[in-house]
Amino acid sequence: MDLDTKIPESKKDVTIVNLKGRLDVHYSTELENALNALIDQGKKKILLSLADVEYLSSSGLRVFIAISRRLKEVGGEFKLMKLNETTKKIFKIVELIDMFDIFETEEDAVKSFS
Amino acid sequence: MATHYKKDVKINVPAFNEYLEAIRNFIEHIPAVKIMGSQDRFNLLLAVEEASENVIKHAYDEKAKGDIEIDITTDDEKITIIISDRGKGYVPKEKLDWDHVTELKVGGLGIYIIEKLMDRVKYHIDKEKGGTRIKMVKYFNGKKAKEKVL
Repeated sequence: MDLDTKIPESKKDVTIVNLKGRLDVHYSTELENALNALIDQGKKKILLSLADVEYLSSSGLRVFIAISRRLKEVGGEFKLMKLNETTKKIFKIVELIDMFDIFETEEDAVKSFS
Repeated sequence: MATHYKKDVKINVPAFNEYLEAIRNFIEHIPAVKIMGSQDRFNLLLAVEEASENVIKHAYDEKAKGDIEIDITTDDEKITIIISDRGKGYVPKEKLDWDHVTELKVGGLGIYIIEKLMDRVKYHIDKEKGGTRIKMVKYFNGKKAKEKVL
């Protein structure tokens, strides 16, 4: 799976990944593999943009938790940004808002990385 | 509620990822679901997808995939959706342990979400014929009557 990634000008060690479509059981497996490959390449600061995510299931949430834990173990950082109405609702329902660093804008999210 | 809104509906769908969106679209267009409030409809659809994902992930062996069976019944006060399979029968986790959430193998996070979204949830494993059955109820008036039997 090819990830839509970009490196912000202000912090070159941060990788922004723009997720799109339905983050269900099918896409989540591919996403987890692709994010793990990024970490294997040495990317330890990952920022996921959820603005274009149409649907997020427990499989997607599990990927966020797994990647967040793996990055913590290797001294990295994992953050989320631009939750749309659908993803906000799902995070609220499962009471996961406090488990992640979540930002409204890319500027604030990028700034927050060490 | 008009009589045609209370017709029982039953569908069988192959237990593959590629059918999840079709299941969602089907449920979304059932008359009784269409007239639900947007938050209740959102919650119901998410619960159905979570239960269906659990069947896809846990019910069948990879080489012997069966069906997801979905029964929908509606009356004046509630919609009841039963999602069942004829697989090996998996025991859903009763309590979610966030420290080990990524290690859960039997749909623990999905079950947690379903219980958050629906008013009543009941599980049954058919030891004779095989398979797991999840019965989920959503009341139209927002009535809460949690019942979780594992």
